[in-house]
Amino acid sequence: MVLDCMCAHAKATGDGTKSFILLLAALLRGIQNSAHMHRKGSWTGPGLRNLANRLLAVGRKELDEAIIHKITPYASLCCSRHSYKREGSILDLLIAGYISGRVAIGQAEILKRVLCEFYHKVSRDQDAVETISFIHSHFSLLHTPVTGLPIGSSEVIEGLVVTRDWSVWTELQGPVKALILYESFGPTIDTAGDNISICVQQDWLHRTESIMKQKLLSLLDSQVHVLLSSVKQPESVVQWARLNHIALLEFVDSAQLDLLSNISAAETLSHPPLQHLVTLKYCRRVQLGGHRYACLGTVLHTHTLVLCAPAPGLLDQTVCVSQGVFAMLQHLSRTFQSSIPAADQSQSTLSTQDLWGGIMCGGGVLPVGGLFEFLLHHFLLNERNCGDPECCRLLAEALLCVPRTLYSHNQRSFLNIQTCFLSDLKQLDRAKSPDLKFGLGFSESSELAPCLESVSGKQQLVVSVLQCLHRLLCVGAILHTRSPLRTGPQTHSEEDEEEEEGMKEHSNST
Amino acid sequence: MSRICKRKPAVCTDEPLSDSNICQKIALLRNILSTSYGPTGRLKQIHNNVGGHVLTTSTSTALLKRVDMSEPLLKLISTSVQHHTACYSDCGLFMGIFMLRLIENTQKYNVRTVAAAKSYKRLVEECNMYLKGDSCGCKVSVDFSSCDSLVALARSMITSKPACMLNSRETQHISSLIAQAFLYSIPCNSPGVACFGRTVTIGIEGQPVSDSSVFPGLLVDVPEMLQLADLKRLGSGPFKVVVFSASLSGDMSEVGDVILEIHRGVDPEFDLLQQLLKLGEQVVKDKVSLFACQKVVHPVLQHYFREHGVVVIERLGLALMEPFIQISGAQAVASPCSPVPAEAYGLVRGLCFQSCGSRELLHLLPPKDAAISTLVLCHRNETMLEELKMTCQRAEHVLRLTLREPYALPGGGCTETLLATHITHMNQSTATITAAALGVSHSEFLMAVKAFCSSLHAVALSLEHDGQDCLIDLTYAHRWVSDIYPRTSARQTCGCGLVEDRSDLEKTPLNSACHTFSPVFLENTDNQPRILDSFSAKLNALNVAVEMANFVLDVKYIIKDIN
Repeated sequence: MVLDCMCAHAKATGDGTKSFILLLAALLRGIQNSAHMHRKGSWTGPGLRNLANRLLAVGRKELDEAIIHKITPYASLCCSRHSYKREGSILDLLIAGYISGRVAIGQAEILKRVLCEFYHKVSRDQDAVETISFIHSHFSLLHTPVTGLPIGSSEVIEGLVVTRDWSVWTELQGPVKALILYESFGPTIDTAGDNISICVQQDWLHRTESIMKQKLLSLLDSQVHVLLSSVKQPESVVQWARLNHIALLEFVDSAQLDLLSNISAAETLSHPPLQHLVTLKYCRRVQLGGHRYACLGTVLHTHTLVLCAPAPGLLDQTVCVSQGVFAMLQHLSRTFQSSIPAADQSQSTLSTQDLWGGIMCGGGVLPVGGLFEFLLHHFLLNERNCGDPECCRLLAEALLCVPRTLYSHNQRSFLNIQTCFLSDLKQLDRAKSPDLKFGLGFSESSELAPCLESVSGKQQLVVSVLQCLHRLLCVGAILHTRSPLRTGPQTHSEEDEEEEEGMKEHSNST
Repeated sequence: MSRICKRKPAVCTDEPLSDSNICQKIALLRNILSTSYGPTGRLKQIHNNVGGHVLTTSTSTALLKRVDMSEPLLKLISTSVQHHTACYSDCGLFMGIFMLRLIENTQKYNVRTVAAAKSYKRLVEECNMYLKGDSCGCKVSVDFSSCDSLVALARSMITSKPACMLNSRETQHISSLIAQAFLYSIPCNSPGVACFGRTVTIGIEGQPVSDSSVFPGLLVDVPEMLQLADLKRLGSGPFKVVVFSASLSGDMSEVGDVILEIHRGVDPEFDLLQQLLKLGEQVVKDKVSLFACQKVVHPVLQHYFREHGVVVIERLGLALMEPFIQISGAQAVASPCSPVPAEAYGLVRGLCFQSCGSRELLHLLPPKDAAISTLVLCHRNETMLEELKMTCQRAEHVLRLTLREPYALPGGGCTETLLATHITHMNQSTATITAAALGVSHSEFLMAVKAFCSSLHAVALSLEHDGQDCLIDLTYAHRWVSDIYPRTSARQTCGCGLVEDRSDLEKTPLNSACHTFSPVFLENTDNQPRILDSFSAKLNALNVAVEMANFVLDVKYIIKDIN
């Protein structure tokens, strides 16, 4: 169940899986300790459920308060203080913040550069939120993995790369019409199942041939020069393509064909089902790491992210991180979009500058390194109007485990940073224009602005953890069954149940 | 009822590189690779425990493909080398030795992982800059106006594969054949975007290597019942050609495994044969002299063609279809049911018999612009032939890489010593600034430079297996081997052959400490390096090796599922 919750959270924000477990564990530990301190015994079932409900309520109410009144102003102040003057660099820093720690040290810089380049090339003055959502939802089709090369060879190339070579290749000039096919041109007999019989009549040889001939002739009439097929075409089609100087690409991923027909405003042909006509800017062959692939230029300037790594395992990691970057950005931009008033939204598009500038000024991002946790901790403990001090204290204490783990290699540095943060905060309360050192405090070595992370992602993390905790604490008993449960789409494996039971016992024993 | 097995918990290893067992295995792999390196590298025999094929090789590709790694880290290292060689065909052993040495040296000098990763990244960038820059004294331009450097590149590749078992004369012969095959594969005077041709390799076992040769055009097995007289009767070329990709066997196998419901009075087999004969008639009427088919041709049709003096090649196979189409300009006909379109016919310039060792082959002479050639390789036994075939294919690929980057690097360990000297010298004065910029301490950075350069030296040292001392000269920074029995006839040269020995050339053993210096670029020399390595392959190997080493050093925890 914990895993399910965590995965759901990761899917939504693309970030925070490790913090999720840390925070959950810290909360459980906190609950255990508080039981020891106050009641000597353990929490009773109803007591636990009550606590869970109260914590969830704190998560709903106090968290929003904290974000609005404390964190957002601080974040916007923080960002305006530091050298993020150019809005473009916000994206760089966000991506850098996400990547660092997920890939090796030397590779983060390269990967960040390529991902930013990819974003900017895809976006090209279009709506920034839509661009991110487009990249996020089609990421698997918009990147091509290549092994055997250093990560530094990663690049962004124009056009949509199909990881197949042309079956028939001819040099074509200028915009060309392409036909998208999902079926074989030949007689389809293998689709009907096992019990097929073929009726052999007079002239059978010529009849099958002539049907195909007719189909192909109609293609020539419609000026098609490229055939893109998701299936293998019969040899006679290949031969026909060669004779008529038509480029043929077989075994294209059908999802990629769908994407192509979507972005190029395909014209669907009425007569044979499932055929689309699109216009391509060009057709090319590209050589990537010892493979020859096809590259299709769309009218809309689609770009493909070519990700390289020396070995497959490393490549998977790079691909996952790159995909995660856009999940994180999507969450951030969606949250920002829903936060601006409806009147503003009616404006046609949100340019890249507007979006990132808006996010920055609106306090949507904070420097990495536990600042969010420190701020929330401080707010929960020190604001007088809190309705449920016990729960606030529980949550506040648990929050600190994230920065504590972040600086676990050196306990002193954690304390230093906390002190530094507190003195900053005092200054902030005293003066109107404080000199905020925090955020730069622990990257002494470099003069660069610190990396950024999304506030909304962090907020979602706290909410998700509290929801998960609620579910966990509300479990009254666990029943083991011998047959698999078929109540819903999620079936719990035995292992999960055992784990749950362990958790239950753990919290019961408090 | 199915039995439910309790899942075993995953095995976790903390700090894998401090585990002596894993370190031992890394050292073993490094030892295997470095003992295989170079012209005098020791061969490795790979057996499995149930008998069967025994492989003798010293190449990284063949070795790593067949050796199963038990440790996840070693598996990763092995696959990364294999993926490099899949792209570049060369420098696999270099990459492996350098990477493993770098890992071991980092451990040995006790450099922090973070500091090591940052420093190595920086150093490999310096290497890239140096090698790609114009002022690089170590790079050799490939001169396409003569074939010397191409042959030298090919020869270096063959000499570094001792399992080919060639003597120096045979090596020279094979390397010139490779250069020749490469030149044949470049299309001349073709308009528009040029596309590489292809070299078809045929291996013949049990013949001396000197019988190997390269032919422009395509060599195929002589069709059954084709006599010399038949060719004579054809007269002189060019001959009209047709090629079928469809089966002309006349049975209905292509329909698949289905029930046939046949109307009364219809005989499908007979119909098909009639269709084939009709096709035959057309082909004969169109004055075709060579009829080729990827698959089987019906015996009756074959007989018909023979009667009309048409040469039939059947069962050409998928691999030869593409070269056949390229050489003849024909287009594969996919169906016997419709007449052959006029555009589908092609031409060959002539047909003749070619006897290669024990085998008689039919030679299809290409028209002038077809970039297809056939490399016939002969060797004494199967294992050596296999290694030779693979080496030749890789060498040709390496030659192709020179078209993208027309450079080569001096071989024989000289590039490694030069690079190491350059890197040491470069970072001598600027170490403080660089270390500060990287955010590492000065001493850490110096240690990292030392680990990096001694790993490069280790590669150069791996070339020597006979107990001779490896030296480095203190002027040009090339690698030398101390000659125990000085040859009187020729003057001694360095590893790559660029620098000639002089009495005033100061040398020192490679692994000993010496003062740093900037290598002098040898100008105005008539000497050409005898041994050249691929520029693109070595550059990629260097980069990938550093990246992998950094990654392996960074692994703090291994979780292995053993279910």
